[in-house]
Amino acid sequence: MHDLEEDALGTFYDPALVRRLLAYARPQALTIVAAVGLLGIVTALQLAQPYLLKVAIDRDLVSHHGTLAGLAALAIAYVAVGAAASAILYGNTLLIQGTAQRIIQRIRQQIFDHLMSLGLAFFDRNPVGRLVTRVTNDTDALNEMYTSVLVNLFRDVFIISGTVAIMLRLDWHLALVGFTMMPLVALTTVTAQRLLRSIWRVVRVRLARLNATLAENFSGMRVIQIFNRQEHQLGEFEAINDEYFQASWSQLRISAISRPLLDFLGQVALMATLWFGGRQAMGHAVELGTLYAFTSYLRQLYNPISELAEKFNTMQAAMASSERIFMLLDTQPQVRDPDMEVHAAAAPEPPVDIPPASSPGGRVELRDVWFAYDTPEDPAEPRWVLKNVSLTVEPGQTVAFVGHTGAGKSSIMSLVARFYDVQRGQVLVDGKDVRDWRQADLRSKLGLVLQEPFLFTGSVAENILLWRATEATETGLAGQSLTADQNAARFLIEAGGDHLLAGLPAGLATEVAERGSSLSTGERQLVAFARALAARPTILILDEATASVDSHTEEILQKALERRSGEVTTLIVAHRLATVQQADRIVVLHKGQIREVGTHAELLALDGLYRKLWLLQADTEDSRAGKSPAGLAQGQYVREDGAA
Amino acid sequence: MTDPIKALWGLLRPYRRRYLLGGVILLGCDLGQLVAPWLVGVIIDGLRSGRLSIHRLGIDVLTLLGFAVMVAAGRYGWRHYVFGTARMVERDLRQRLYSHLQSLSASFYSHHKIGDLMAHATNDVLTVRGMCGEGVLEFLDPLFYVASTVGVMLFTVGWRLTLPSLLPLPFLTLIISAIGRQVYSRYKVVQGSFSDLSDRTQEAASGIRVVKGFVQEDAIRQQFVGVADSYRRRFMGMERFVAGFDPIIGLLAGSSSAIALLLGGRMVQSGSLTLGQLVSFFGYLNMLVWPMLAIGSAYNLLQRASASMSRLQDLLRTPPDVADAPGAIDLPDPVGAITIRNLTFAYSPDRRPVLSGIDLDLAAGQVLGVVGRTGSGKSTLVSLLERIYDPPPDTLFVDGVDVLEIKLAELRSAIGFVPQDSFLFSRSVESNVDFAQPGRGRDAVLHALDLAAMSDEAASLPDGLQTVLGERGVTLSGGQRQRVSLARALVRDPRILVLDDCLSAVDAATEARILASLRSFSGFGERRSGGERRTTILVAHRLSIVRDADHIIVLDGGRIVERGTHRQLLAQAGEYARMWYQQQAEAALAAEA
Repeated sequence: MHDLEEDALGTFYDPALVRRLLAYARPQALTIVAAVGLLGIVTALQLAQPYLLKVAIDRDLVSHHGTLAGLAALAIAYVAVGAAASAILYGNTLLIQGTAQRIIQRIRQQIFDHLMSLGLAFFDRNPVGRLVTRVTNDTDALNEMYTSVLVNLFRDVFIISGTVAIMLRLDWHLALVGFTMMPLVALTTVTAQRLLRSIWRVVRVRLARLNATLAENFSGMRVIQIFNRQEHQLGEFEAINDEYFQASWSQLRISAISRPLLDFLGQVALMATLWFGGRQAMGHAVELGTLYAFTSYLRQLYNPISELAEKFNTMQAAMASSERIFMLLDTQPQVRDPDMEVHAAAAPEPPVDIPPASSPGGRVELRDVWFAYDTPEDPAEPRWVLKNVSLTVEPGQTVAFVGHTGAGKSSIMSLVARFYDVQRGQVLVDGKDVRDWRQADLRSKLGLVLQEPFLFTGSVAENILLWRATEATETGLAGQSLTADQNAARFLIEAGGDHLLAGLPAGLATEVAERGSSLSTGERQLVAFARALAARPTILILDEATASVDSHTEEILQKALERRSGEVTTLIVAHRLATVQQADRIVVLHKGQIREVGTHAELLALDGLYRKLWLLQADTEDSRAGKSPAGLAQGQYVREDGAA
Repeated sequence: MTDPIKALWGLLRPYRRRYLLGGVILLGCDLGQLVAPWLVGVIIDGLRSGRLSIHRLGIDVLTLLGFAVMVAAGRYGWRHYVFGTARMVERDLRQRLYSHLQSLSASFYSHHKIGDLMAHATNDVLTVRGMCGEGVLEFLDPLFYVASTVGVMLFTVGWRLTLPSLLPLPFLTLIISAIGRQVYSRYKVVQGSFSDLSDRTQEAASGIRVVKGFVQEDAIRQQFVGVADSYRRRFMGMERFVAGFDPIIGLLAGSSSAIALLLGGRMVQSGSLTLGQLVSFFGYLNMLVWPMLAIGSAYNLLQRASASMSRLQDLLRTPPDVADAPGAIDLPDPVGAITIRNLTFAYSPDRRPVLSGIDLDLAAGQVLGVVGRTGSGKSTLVSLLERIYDPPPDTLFVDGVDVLEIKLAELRSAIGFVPQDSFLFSRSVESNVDFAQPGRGRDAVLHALDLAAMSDEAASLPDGLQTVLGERGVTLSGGQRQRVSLARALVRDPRILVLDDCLSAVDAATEARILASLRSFSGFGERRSGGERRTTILVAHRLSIVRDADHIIVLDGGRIVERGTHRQLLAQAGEYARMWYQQQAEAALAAEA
């Protein structure tokens, strides 16, 4: 129910939304008022230009008292007014755009910050592409609204009202004649807009279909070629391409009629003015300059009217976008830090019971944990992933979790990291409920290795040290300080990646390309493991870390883990029983419940599920012990234990 | 003429009659528009001299009306012939592009992101359409306008007034088109920055576990602050130029009018020019502003369109790399024997080989199982057989003929291929199954679905076999998709059947049913003679699928590391045996209630 709907349709105007949008503009309110004021000045200057020509005609050209000096003064004034208008307009446009961009940046940042504060459950429900759209395109639609609508609306209104006022003042009879076409222009514009909107919908649907067909055919090209279907698909595409063409042709036809028609209506207004104005001028009721000025003003009057209608489309898009943005911003984070809700103001001192520095830390305890991924609001009984799970892991212990897919192994890892909150029971780390830890404090104890090695765009070193490089002026064994690169190299070697390190084309500065075409999955996992070690964890979590890597990476990781055993608490979710054999304890999970717990020997003696598994695998594992799998010389990848 | 421009001309050529007609109408329009300023001048002069009769005024206004009607009709006409034809060009170009892309192989698609191809098919094609519509208008219109308007100006008021007044206008063209170029190059920078925003968000959202797990929220936020800020700066960098358009136009057009006012006014005062002529002149000057802008815009448009056109040409000129060799032969009656000789394959010369030294003999009608870890080369091996990529010469033979020498269509219709991703089209179930050769009939489709253990489920879909799948229709589960994709291959009744790990999402019971029907279809595990059996290649993670195969190979790192029958491989106690027992164990665990 927290899913962000994609197709929420906006209206032209939603007062609640607009109020919220305007609230973002409030810090810049003065600037905006100033900008609108400047726009008024620009409009006034622009409207003054035809008036200057009118004065020139009536004073210096028609009457016989006209002087060259007077004419020159008017010409200079004309240029000066134009220059002033241009200069102010330029500055003002930049002012408005700059302001709008600042507002948009603020909204964008807020959306992003909010995203980062939301729990994993939110990301499970919302596809990444949708979230990206919120940050990019939706905010862009708002920018359109702030600049084009808010500002140009004022400008158009200023121009229309200014022109109308001047015309009325010059000669209200003639002005009324000039205005006669306004209703028709408005009608034509509105009709054309309505027609265009409906045909635009058709065009968009067909364009979407065209693009979807293209995308589908591109991604299914292999199937098309394998099944020799090229000709048929081409024919289908031609039909779809043609449908789009037909729609876009009708769209063209509407604008090919409406635009000349609008121009024509303007011409009719001009003719009416000439007819009535001319007749009055014959009786000298109207000055020639006024008649001329009217022809100029009429042009300025009719353009903004048709432009006003187009603003509605922008406005509608912005409303729809802002609705989606606010829906996202209103989603409350479900996993929260304790002081966010309770000690909001009253807790300036750090959290109280930090374990004494002497204790290494790393104790993990689950007490009667019940957990489901469903949101708590779901009315039905939740689909429990963990049922009444209790477990204690002492500092420095290695505990392995085995069981079938869906048994709940990975969920336990997520709960220790507090990616989700439990529905019942408690998860405790170092004796304190994870909900009482600040998330940052809790997670900085962890070193996490996931099944899919996720790497950030950047160098190998950056991916190992993350953005801690500056604080990581650590000291080596002999007490000398290490550079960031030396530091990263140390962790990569510790992770067993010495061979990888030697093979990197640009060393640690090698860029990890997007989706990592330069590094294999196994190599990426080594980097991810080094990253986990670099976090200096007291609890190391390997969640199916070897499931998708090749066989020698698996061996390397295994060796590296063995070297570190006993130093930190280690939680392993693994597939192969051989991997977990040396664990201090093995937890066999089945359908969300703990079935068996014990050491390898104890579980074998128990004659339960584990023993059954073990016997099935034992044959091959024993025979494998002596020889390398797949006939590959893996010895070269595995360092001798004492070599460090 | 440079290359892309020649290509643009090639697009327009078939429609040159329409363009010619459009041009003639445009010329008529431009001439017709000269009437209004002229008549306004005449009326003003008539009024000033007092010789204008109401009758005369009426005639003038009606003349004006007549021309206005004509101009409006003409404006519709040239839009129809110029803009409309541009849309035809757009349609043709897109069609040609798609048709060509269809002939290119998988290696082309692995080097080109679908997003990029879409961008070519949409943005670049639209830019070219812009050139063929607005661009053509912006070339022709200024030409006609400037010639006719300046001609009339020179004729009515003479060069003394005309030339000085026109002086600012060339600058208008130069400055505005220079600004236009600046805006365009900055626009591309802004676009790049916009993708940064999008990339950052994408990365943070898809790596959210790592971001949170390593407490990197603040670092990621700081990065985003930087990106968002640089977007704003770059946007403003572009806006500094965009904001210049209107002011520059106002300033230079205004200067033109002011010069005309001063010089023309002096001529009116001295009596060498009538007031009406000056007013007409103002009208003409106003009309010249747009063509001055258009020239520059047309130039910029042409540059962009040639850039787009050369990108499109790059695509259109990519030769199909997997194509029929000259003298390629038919495969009239394939028996389905497959031979592989020392096959080593890399996706490109600078990359590590994906397959090394593969040797294999598969007699007609035999069943081959291919197993191994992810990335061990299984899918590559079968895609070479299908010539999705071309293998090196003399390495892969069907019925003793190098696959490179067999006609593609022949080779591919001999093989029923079930790809790993079980890609289905957004169309009905029936036409998905009957994809290769529509019209085989409902019974054939039902039979194939039956073999794939999918007929009951297909029948229970909302519209049965006519149910539309995909985004606009019903979403099938992974296992259902795999089975429809299997039926699609079976319906062709192929000599060679290739299943590329296509039962991974099917549950154990259904898998058993499918294997049973495959046994009867291919005849494997039965004592039939080779001719009655179909050569079958089963690529699988789950070993239960391959256990009955005549021959099983285990790939690791692109090499065959173990080979033999199921029994032999278990006896070898190697990787295969390990995987077998592990999967047995998992199955046992799953069965445990």
